[in-house]
Amino acid sequence: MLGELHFSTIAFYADIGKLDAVVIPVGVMAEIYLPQRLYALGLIARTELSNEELRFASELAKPLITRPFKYLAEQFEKAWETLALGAALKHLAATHAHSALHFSVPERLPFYLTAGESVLRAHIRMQIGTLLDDQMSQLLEHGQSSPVVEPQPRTKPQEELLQLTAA
Amino acid sequence: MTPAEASSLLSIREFLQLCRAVDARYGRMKKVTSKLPTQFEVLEVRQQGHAYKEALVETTTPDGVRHRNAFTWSNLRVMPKRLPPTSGLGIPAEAIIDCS
Repeated sequence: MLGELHFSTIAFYADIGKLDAVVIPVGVMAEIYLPQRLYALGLIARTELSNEELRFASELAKPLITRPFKYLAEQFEKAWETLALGAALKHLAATHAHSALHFSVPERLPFYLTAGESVLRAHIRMQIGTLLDDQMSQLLEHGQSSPVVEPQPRTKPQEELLQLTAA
Repeated sequence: MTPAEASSLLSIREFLQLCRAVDARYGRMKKVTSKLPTQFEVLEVRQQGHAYKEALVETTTPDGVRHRNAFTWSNLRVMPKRLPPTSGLGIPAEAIIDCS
C-alpha cells in the first residue's frame, strides 16, 4: 500500500531578513495520508527555550517562542480540526513563511505500508513517532552542546517559500 | 539491578538515543577538556505503565566528575494522544500524534 508521508522542521529565525542570523531548532511536524483510509498528524517540539537562546529573540517574538510547544500544539489542534486531510503541513508552512517561527517546505519521504487493517493505526503511530524522534534528534544534533545552530544555507525562508509556491 | 541488566532493558534504538542525549548534555565538557570520551553507565531502567520509560544514568566526564541524571522516553507505539514531557533528547520536549 502506498501513501504519502511528509515532514517539516520548525526553527526560530532570530532575523529572517539576514542570511547569517541565528537559527534555533524548535520541533518537527509530520503527516501521513492514505486517501480514503487514514490520516495522521504528529508534532514534537521543545517545551521551552533557554535564557541564552531567548536573548536572540525580539520582544515581539518572545511570546511566540518562550513556550514553543504550547503555541505549536494550538496550531496543530487548529489544523487537525479545520483543514482538509493531508493539507496541514503545506498550510502551516505557507502561513508561517514570514514568521520568526519558520516551517521548512514539507519534505516527502518514501512510504510503504504492509500492516493489516487491524493494526494499521498502531503501525502508523509507530512510524510517525519514529520519524518525529529521528528528525528531532538530527535537528538538535546540528546544535551539538548548544541548541543554537549556525546558519544553514539550505534553510532560507524566502527560497523555501518560492519552492512551496512552485510545488 | 546491575548495569548490564539495566542496559539489556533498552532497545538498540533507545540506547543510541541515550548516547545522543548524554552527548548533547555533556558534549561541551568533552570538547573543552580533552579528547577523552565522556563515559556513561546505565544504572537502572524503569518502565512506568506502557508509555513511559526512564533510565538512570551515571556519566563520567573526562575531568573525572560524575553526574547522575534520569533520561526519559515515551513509547510512541502505545501512547495516548499527548505524551509526557521527555528529556530523552537532552532537552525538554513534548509530542502529540492524532490519527483518524
